[in-house]
Amino acid sequence: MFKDITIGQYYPSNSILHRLDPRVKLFGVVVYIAAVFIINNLIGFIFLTIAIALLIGMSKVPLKHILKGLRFVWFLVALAIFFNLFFSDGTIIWRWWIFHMSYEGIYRAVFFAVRLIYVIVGASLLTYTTTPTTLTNGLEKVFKPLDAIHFPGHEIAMMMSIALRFIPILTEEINKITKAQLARGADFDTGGLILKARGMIPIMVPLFVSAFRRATELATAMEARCYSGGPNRTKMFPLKYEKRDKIAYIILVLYLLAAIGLRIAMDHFLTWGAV
Amino acid sequence: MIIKLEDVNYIYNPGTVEEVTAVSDANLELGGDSFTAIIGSTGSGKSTLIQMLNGLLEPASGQITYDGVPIYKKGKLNKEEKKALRQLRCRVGLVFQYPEYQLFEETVLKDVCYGPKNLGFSKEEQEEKARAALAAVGASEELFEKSPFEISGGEKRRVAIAGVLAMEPEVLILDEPTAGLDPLGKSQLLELLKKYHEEKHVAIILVSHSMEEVAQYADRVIAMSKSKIVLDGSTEDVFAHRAELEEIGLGVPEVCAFTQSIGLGDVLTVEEAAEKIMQVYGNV
Repeated sequence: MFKDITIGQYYPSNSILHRLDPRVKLFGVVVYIAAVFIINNLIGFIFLTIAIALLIGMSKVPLKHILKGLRFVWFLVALAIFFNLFFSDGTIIWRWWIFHMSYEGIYRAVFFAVRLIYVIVGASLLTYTTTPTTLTNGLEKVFKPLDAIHFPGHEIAMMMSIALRFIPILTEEINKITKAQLARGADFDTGGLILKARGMIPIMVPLFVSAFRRATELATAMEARCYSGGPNRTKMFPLKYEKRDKIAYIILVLYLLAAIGLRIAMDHFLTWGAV
Repeated sequence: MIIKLEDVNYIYNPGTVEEVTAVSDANLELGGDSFTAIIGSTGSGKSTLIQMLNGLLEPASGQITYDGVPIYKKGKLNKEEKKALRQLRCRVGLVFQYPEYQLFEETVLKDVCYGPKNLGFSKEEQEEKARAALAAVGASEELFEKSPFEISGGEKRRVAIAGVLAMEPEVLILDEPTAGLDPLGKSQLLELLKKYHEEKHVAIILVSHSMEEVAQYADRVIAMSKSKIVLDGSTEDVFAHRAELEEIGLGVPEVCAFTQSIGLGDVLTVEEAAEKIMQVYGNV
């Protein structure tokens, strides 16, 4: 049921994306997400699709693996489609009770779903190609300028990477507890929604207990090794920009400009296919 | 109940690069009235094997029958078959490693009632079974209304085991039930199991890393190595194969190694060794 959650997990490989500096990749994710929302027409989306396909190809992460990671997002996508489809105003073509469908609504629903999936695929490429440690280092550097206003950049970066690291641990824990309760005759298959939800209590309570226990253990282990997130903490592998990182920055800036240009051009010369 | 395995195989992640054969060509007859120990180094396939025994994992190939009745068919199980599978899991009780992590109810008694409740017993029957199970593991009456999260580690372990005993299984499988307990807790728990085995005639299958435990309590030993069953026989027979056992990263009980080294042959327990030594050297 909760077998192999892949979203947010590192996928070991040695691709060019894996080797890029995490700061470049973070910037890349921001540029990419911005592009997804700037672009508002069919041609723009073809432009985006080419970009994401190239990135996936470069990352050497199998497409199957990425799609598997999307499994838990489908619900969100379905919800977004539902609201856009039945509650958008415009040229009404169908109406029933509080629901109404319009051409604009259909359009918006499709584009919204595509946007959501694109954003998640793009963002998950970051975690597939970056180890939690490197990601923390990158985030920390990015947050550095905010030190002046006492923004706890290091702590937030550390918390994020620990959260990601805990996903597989807790997944394994869920599998173990589920099996143990099945061995006590638990029935997770039959019954309605409420009965099923109640059936989850024997899994959820031990899961929370174990999550708290693990958190305490981790905190103790970190303290035992004199961890403190404060300033003047040195790194074993400080981040350093390579030539490829600089090239990547240039490509990203150009890409962002292209996306903006495409939007402006389309808004001026083409009204067809706009959302 | 007799559990029979014929050419049973289990493969993790079949068809991918991470494919691992965890159990290969297992042929066994378990259950009945025996106290069986399964030994083997970490990763030898013991845990996979025992999970197949109570229907939590379905073998990739081969047949498992319970008193001659197979549980798996080709294709998806229908409602009836699913129910039968659930009942089977209760007839073959499985206590996982560190079972105390599966406690979840508000009180100890309620938690032990969970198994019988799933089997559809009435409230009175649930409590009756739970009390009997708790008594069998030596949990005192004053624990019953406490939260399972506020009692000691050793008590938690016993309560969790009681949670499986309350379903009155015909075969009881325990995966390293003494891991992490102190020496006294270990021997107490094993004594309780032995007593339970003798009184209720429940077959016990014990996974253990302690050769001393195995020698003292089991009457049959199955040794696994690299997904295969390499030795299977009475405790005396298996521990007579010292070289083979050492080769697969196991060994014989220390006392046995000692008597062998002074030329007194095989013994299984300290008591036996003492007797033998007295026979030979007692009159000197």
